[in-house]
Amino acid sequence: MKYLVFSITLIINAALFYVLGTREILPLPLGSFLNMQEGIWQNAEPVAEDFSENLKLKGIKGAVNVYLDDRLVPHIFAEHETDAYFVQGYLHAKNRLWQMEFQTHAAAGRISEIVGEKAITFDRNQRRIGMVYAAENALAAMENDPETKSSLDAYTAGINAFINALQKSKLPVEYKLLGYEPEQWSNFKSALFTKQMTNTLAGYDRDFEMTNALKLLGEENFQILYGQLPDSLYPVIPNGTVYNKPLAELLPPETADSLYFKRKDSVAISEDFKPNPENGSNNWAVSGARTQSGKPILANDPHLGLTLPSIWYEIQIHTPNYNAYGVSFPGLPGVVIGFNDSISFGFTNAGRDVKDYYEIQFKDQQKQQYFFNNQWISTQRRIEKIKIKDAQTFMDTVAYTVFGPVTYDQSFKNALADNKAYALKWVAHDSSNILKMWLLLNRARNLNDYVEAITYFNAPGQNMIFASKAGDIAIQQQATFPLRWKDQGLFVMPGFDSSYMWKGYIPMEDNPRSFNPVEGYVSSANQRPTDSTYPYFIPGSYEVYRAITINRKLASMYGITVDDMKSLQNDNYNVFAEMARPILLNYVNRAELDNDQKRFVSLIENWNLKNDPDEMAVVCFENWWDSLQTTVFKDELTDVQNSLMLPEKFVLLEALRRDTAFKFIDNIKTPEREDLNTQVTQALKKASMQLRSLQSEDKLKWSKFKNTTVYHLLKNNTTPFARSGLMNGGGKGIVNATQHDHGPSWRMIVEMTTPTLAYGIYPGGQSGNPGSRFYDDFIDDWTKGQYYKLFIMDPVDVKAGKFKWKMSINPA
Amino acid sequence: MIKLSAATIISGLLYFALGLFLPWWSSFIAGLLVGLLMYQNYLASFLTAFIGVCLVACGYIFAVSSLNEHILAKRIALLILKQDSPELLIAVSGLISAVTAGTAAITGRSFMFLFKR
Repeated sequence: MKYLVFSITLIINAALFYVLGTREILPLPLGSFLNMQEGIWQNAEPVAEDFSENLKLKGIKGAVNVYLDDRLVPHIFAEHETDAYFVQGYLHAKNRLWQMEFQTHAAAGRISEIVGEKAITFDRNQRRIGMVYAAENALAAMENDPETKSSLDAYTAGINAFINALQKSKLPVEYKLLGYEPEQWSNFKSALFTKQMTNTLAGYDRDFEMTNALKLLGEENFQILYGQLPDSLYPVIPNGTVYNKPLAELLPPETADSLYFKRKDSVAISEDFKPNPENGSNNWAVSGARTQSGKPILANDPHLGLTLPSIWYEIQIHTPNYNAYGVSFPGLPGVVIGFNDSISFGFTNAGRDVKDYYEIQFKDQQKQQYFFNNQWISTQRRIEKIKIKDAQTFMDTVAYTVFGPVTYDQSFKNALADNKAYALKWVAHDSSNILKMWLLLNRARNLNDYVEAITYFNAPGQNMIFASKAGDIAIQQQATFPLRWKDQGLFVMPGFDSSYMWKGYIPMEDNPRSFNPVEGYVSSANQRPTDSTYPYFIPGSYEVYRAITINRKLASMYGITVDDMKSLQNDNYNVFAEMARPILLNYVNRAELDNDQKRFVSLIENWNLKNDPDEMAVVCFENWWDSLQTTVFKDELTDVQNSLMLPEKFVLLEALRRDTAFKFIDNIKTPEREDLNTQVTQALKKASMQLRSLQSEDKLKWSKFKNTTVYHLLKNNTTPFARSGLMNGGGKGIVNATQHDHGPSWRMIVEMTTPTLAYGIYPGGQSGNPGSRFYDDFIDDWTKGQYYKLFIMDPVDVKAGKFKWKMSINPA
Repeated sequence: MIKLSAATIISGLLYFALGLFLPWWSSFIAGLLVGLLMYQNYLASFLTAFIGVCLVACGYIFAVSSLNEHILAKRIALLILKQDSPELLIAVSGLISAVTAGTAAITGRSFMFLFKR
């Protein structure tokens, strides 16, 4: 009996040990995960946590004090700039370590190491668009500049000082969930972060879809549906501005007509992992002539995927050379959007196309040679080793051509016949030191310093806005942009002929800019930067409607206050609906409608055109218009084999405003000839099915329908770490650009008075720890459109003890 | 009764102390040691280790989570238990350590019985 008891309990113990200690049986090793001294309970930060501490760290030159305010915003006071970056790295790691590492793993195509085989296609895609190659080039440029290198070295050392002292029990929750540990940070990871950002903002591309659309529609119809110059364009640089003429006109190659514009075949590639084309922003600066204080006011709100932990981390850096405040990227030193004692700066995305595909002919499946300029040229082959959790390392051979890496070939991810492949030419691959721009902007004192700083920035193209206490305001669209002949790069280009290569870059002095314009304000909202007289071909993915609202408002505003700017950033007016509503209401056949449909029409009729949270007309309007788009275009734009894209929203609206007999209205799949009345009415009938269902679920209110959500970075795997059901208004094309999971990721307003008055908020919190009260504490205020007054701490405030906690950091 | 109480207290203290430098399976070791060293029947061995460790684990975790106003416990409970119940997560966390300590205590005791004539 005693042997039996011993044996049975021993087996039970062994079984418990196994089940609770591995991920083989249960998704989590619950033994360690829920252990009181090792597991997640160590991440349950007391709400009354005392963040004051004395630290002795190797790698800093002098004493550094960090004063934390009641929102956990650090105010770093350092005697040496590199010490400030060291401590910024330490604080980023302390608050955002998992996020920083995860994002750079994603950039480098290393997610399979963490989650296993399900991420292999994503990782291969990252490697094959050359993210690692691009980061290597960026790192070389950054480390070639002594100042950038010393700043990065200090930042990296600060992160590693935190990692090296981190106990396993205190690892961020996500490491415990996913079962891995952080590795050492490096300057290379910061370079990877810059490329992740570049991919987010300048990685959207539609060459394949446009190639297929051209093939399907022919040139004339293609221009109608995919033209890039909306009638209602309000460019960044005002209409009528006179531009320098380029030195020479660029002409397409002689073979372009047959090989490019009238190519014979479609492209069977569908790109996954496209960045969100809505990644954009608003910014504007008004001169003192328009403000109540007589000093400029600058406003910026970058629209990005809304995530927890947030992409942003608020910070003040005070050194003998400068005093900068704003938001930083965990992963990079310095302040990215903010201000100092003399100037303020912000960004919106340019949306310019800086990414083209070339069709390559390999000699054979070995991918060692490709045909170029009438001869076989050797590729450079790069073996990408993709480690996979619980599986063998995957080896991926990526061929590099004169254009760049071959992204798509027979091994990835579509089977292409005849050894055809597609190589990528992308500005992101070019060597550049964009970090230098921020290091210089942080201590810039005037317009000239700003102009010099931004020359270091090559990608992703940004509308860089500026205001100073001296009274200057400015905006410049800055990056290196390819020099193209008309329509070059809209479609996949032949890769065997050097005459199809980019012709260099547009001279930087010709980048669109506006310094102290007579209008007394500058602004941008991801629209096309210039009117049609700009002498370069500048394709892109541009927004139309936010810019209209912003320009209308700013043009009529005088005696502007910070509160006016807050109202504008939170403005819910739907200018697209203002233009589109008359078409819907005038052409719907009301006699054909049932009571529900009449009610939906009536809601739209009585709508004040604001996308407010409780508004039901928005949902009716959006669904009706989307239904009309599909009704009008789906018959022409159907290609079962190849990827296509619906035209931009402005195309149908402007076509119908010009001509209600627009040629695409008729459904070519039916024998009858449909007119606008028929299609508008049909569209409502189709939409009303969805609207009725929403009505029955009580989801007809805009905020309920939209369900604004700030997801955790692991998205649907960690929904309890997200914040959903937020009651936000706004939407696509609205100045308050809050969509379902995308929108104003940081709202900032800076009045260049003395002392500087600044306000800001982002939908998150300073801590990345889901077990901290500082994880998501800004979200409710952000939802309400509120702001925090940014506390620009100075030595007098320090002496007066105007801080909540103090970290004293001294050399070890 | 005194012996039972002593075994319970020793289990809890051992579990806490061992956890300071051993991984999560310190509960097994605590239970095993109590089983090996405290002369009790199987049921008493199990219960004293179970209760001792459960009290320490649940008490400690409840205190930690309360100071945190259960912010993390709510999120983790929803994530892994699909329940909006920090209390349930605390109980599950404590029970895992308690059950492992209890079964290890029987193993320890039965091991000692192997040598008893």
